[in-house]
Amino acid sequence: MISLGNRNAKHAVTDEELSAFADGQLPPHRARRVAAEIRAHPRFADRIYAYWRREAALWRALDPVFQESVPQIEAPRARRWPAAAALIVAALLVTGGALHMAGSGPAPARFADMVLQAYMQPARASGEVSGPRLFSGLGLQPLSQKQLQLAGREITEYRYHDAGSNRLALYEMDHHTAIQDGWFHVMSDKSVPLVRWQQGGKSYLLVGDMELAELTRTAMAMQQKISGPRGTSEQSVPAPTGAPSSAPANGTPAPQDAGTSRSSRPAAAGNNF
Amino acid sequence: MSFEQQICDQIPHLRRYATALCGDPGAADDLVQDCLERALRKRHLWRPSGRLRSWLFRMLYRLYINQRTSAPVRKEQPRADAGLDQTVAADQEDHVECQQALEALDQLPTEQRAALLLVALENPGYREAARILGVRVGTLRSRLSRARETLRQERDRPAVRRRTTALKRVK
Repeated sequence: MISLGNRNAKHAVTDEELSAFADGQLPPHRARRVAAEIRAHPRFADRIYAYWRREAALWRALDPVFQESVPQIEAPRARRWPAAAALIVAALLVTGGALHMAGSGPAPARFADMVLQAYMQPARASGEVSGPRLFSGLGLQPLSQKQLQLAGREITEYRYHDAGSNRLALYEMDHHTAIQDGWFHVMSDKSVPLVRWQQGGKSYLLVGDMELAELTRTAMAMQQKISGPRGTSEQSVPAPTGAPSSAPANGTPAPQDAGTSRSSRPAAAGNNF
Repeated sequence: MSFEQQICDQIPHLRRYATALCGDPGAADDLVQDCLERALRKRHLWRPSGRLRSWLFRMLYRLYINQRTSAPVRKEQPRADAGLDQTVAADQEDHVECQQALEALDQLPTEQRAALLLVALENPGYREAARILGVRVGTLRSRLSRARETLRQERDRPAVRRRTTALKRVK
């Protein structure tokens, strides 16, 4: 019987050496010596065979996990693979560093639920449109902007149509949610996909009637626009006082708001992006 | 190949290892997702000259150990497939052996299980495996050897004895 863990004086082979031999991890001169012992003592070969057989069984038992396709949507779980995969897709373009800011606020899921409820309400142009948040080059047609009071918090809603007439809405909240980071968090287990992120002391949540990947790309583009160099970044543009020219009678801002002339416009006061 | 694409390539490997470590697919997915999030957050710490696989697996393993440390009392959570009939492979003997191998893993201390699974499933070199687990190569060899011996002896024990030892006398 081979002693466990210690070099056996008779055979000059330890369990560790046998194990390493089974992995092909012994230096050549040691491997030759162990091989000689194995030839001389078949029970060593039996042990190595037992190791391999056991590990082959483990391999077979776990191989289905390896073969599973990664995207797998299961609604009951909040954190699933689409989220992880989309997170990686998002990071392909995200270059901003993590934001570590203090603050307290609603849990992200609660924040998401709140704005999702708001999003599901019929799109209704507010009479208080002062100027939409502009994202030029994204093909977004601004529809409306309004202030919402949800759970005692003030949230700004910007609604848009994209080039394919899909509606989407960006929600902006001054306070951070409970999780402080600079990541895109995607939530695909909702009735419509959501992407949440934090930037410049604010929380954003983008909701849209479109594929998660498309929504994530839009969110990344928005994030880049918001964090762009001062003077070229997209800002909420206050409407000229008493001049509702950018907001027609129905409250819808003029199409040119999605245009390219924002650099000549003043940035909204208090915006520190 | 970009950093993110390389990470994507490792996801099935990470998932398999996490599933083997956690023994629960849901917990494994959470662990992998935590790992991916951390990897993306810490990407500035990754050196392109280094091996991404080692970096990711080390991160996954540390997260796993941290989670175990911070939750000493294991919570029993229903599996997603609880109540469903387990599928039985056509080859019953093979199926039984696979099940036994998985069950035998539970007999091992965490460190031994992690070492054995890493080497058996991913087949890294000992140096890389030791780096992932944060131990010396000698320690890794020792853990592997003890884990294999435990599994081998467990397999050699008669089935009846295996079942009876599961019963403990309670006063």
